[in-house]
Amino acid sequence: MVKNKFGAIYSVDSDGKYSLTEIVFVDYDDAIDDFKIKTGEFKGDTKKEIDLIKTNTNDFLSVPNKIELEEEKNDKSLILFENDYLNEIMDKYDCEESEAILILSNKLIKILFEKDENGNLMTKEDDTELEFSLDDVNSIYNDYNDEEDEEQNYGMDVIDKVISQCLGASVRVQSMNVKITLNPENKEKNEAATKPSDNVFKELDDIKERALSNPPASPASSIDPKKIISETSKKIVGQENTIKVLVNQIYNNQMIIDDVLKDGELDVTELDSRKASILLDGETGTGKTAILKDIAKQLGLPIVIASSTNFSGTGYVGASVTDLLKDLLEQADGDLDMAERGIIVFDEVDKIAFQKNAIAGVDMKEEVQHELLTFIGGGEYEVAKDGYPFGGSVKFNTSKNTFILSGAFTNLREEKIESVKKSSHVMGFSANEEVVKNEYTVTPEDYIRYGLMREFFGRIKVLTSTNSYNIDDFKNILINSKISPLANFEKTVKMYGYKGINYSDEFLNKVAEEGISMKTGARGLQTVMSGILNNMLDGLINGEFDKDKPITLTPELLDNYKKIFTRKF
Amino acid sequence: MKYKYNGHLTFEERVDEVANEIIKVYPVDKETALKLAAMEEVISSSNIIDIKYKRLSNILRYVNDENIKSRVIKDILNEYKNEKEKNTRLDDYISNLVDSLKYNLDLPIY
Repeated sequence: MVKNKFGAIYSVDSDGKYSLTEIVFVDYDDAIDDFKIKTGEFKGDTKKEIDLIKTNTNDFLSVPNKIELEEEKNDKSLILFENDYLNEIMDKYDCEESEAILILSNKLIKILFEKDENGNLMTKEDDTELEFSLDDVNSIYNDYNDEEDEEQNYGMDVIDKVISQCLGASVRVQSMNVKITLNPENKEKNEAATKPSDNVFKELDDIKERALSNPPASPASSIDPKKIISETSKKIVGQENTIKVLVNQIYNNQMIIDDVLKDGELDVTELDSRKASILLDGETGTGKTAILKDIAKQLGLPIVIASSTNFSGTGYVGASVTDLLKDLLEQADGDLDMAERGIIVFDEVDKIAFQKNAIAGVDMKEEVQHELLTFIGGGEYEVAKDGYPFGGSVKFNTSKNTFILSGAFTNLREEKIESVKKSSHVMGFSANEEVVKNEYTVTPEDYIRYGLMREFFGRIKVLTSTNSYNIDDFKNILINSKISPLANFEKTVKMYGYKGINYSDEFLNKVAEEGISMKTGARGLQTVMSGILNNMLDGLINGEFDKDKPITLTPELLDNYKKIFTRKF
Repeated sequence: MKYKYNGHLTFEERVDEVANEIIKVYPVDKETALKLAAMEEVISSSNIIDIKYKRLSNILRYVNDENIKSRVIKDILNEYKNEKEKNTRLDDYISNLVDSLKYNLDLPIY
C-alpha cells in the first residue's frame, strides 16, 4: 500500500558529523519497501539513490543505530516519520491545513501541511528556519508542553515521543509539536479544540522574548515534593518515611541553592554550611537505589551511583572522579548547571569503615575515607571534551551537588538487634511472650564506633534508613507496588493475548517465603517470578494456555522455578 | 547495548527502555522488541552478566530473521570470549549453544 509520509534527508560528512539537508514528502510503498520523493531538491529519488532508514509502525519514530548509519554506502539517507497521526487529527477537526514545528537542537523548522484533492498530505509552503539558541528552544518546548493546558494536550503524545540523537550529535530532533489551523466554518469543533495561531512567527517571537527575559526555572520552583513522595511510595512500598526524608532533603538542598544564588553569586561557604549530605543505611534489596533513582527521575536531576570501594589512597581507580562527573553531564544532556545540581551517591561506604585496632587494611581505608571527604567537601574539576557535547572541556564545580553515602552496615544492624532482644529478655519477657519492641535507634556515634571517621558527620546532617522486609512486607510489595514483579508478570502474560492471572493466598505466601530465603531483599521476589516466567514462556508464546480465562498461578509452579537449563550429555 | 539499572521504573517504562536498547543494535520491529524486553528480569544490581546473556539468548530464540540470528550468535561468542568473570552457567550455555548449531538442535535458553 502506498502511503504519503514525510521525512528528513540527512548526510554524513567525512568527520562523521550529521547535517539535516531537507524535509521532504514521500510516497512510500510498503509492499515493495520503496519510495518516491515528491518535493524539494531530491524529487524523484528512490531507495536506489538514497538509503532508507526504516521506522517502526507502532512508534512515532525509531532511533536508528548510529553505527548502522555510518555503514550506509550512499552519502544521503532518509528517515521517514509516521504522519498517520497528523492525518487523523486533520480529519477529526476537518482542517484544511496544519503546521508542524520541528524543534531541533539549534534551530526551529516550521512546516505547513495541507491536503490535496485525494486527501494526501502535502507541504503548503517552503520550510522556514528560525535560528534560536538552545535555551530558547528548551523554553519553547516547555511552553508547548504545558500539562495544565488540556486544550493543547491532543498534541502532547506527539511531543512526548522525544526523538533524540537520530541525526547525530550536531543536530538533535528534540520534539515535534502539532498545531492545527481550523476551518473557521466549523464553530463547534473549533470550541472543542485549541484556538489556532494566526501569526505563528509573531507568537514565536513573543516566546523568544519571554525566554530571553526570564531565565529557565530552576528545578525547585516547579516541584511538588508531596507528589514525588506519593509517586515513589507507590513503587517502593513499605519505605514511606525514608522516601519522605530523602525527597524533602534533596528538595531542600535545591531550595538552598536557589536562595544562595539569588544574589547572583555563589557563596560556597554559606552553601556548604546550609546544604545537607545524607547517610542512607539499609539492607541489600530494600530499595535504596530504586528510591534514589526514582526521586532523581521525578526531580529531573541527574544521578550517579558509585562504589566507595573503587576509591584508593591515590584517587578513584577503575574509573576516575571526573568520569562520575562526565556521567552526570551526559545525563543532563550537557547542561552544566543541571549536572552541578545532580546527586552523587557513594554506595558500600560500610566497606571502607575501619577499626583502629584491626590488623590489616586500616591505613588504606583511612586514606580512602580522606579521599572521599575531600571530594564531598566540594571543588572544581576539569571534565574532558567528550563529556560536553558542544565541544571543549568544562570546569565542573561540585559545591552544589547533593552527596549521599549509603551502605548495608550489616554487623551494626545485627549487633543492635541482638542488643534489643537481650534487653527484652532482661526486662522479664518469657520465651512464650511476644517481644513487642522490634525497632532500635542509631546515632552518629554508632557509625563512628563502627569505623567511619568523625569528620564525615560534620558534613552528614541527615541519617536515614530503609526498613528490612518480612513476609507480610513482601506480600504487600507483590500486591500493591506499581513495580511489583507479580504485576509485571501479569502484564507480560497479557501481551500474548491472555486474560491475565489469578492466584491464591497460598501462592503469594510461597513466593514471599522463597523470596525471603534468597536473602537479597526485594530482588528475591523478582528472581522467583522471573524463574516462573522462564518456565512458562514457551507455552505463553505458542498459545498453549486457555485464552478464555485468566491463567491460574499455583504453588506447584515454584517447585521447578529454579531449573535454569538442561545439559545434554 | 546498555544494561542500565531500571528497578525504579514501571513495567511500561522499563520494557520501553530495554526495547529501545535492543532496537539500537538489532533491526527488530518495536512490537517484537517490547516482548523481548518483557521477558527480562528487572536490572537491579551491578552484576549484569545473567541479564546480558539472557537478553541475547532471548533475541536468538524468538526472532525469526536469519541475518539477525547470525549476528546475535557472533555477538554472544564475542562477549563470551572477552568475558572476565565466567561461570558454570555461562560455560554450559555456550557449550549447549555450540552443540545446537553443530547438530541442528533447539537453541538453548540462558
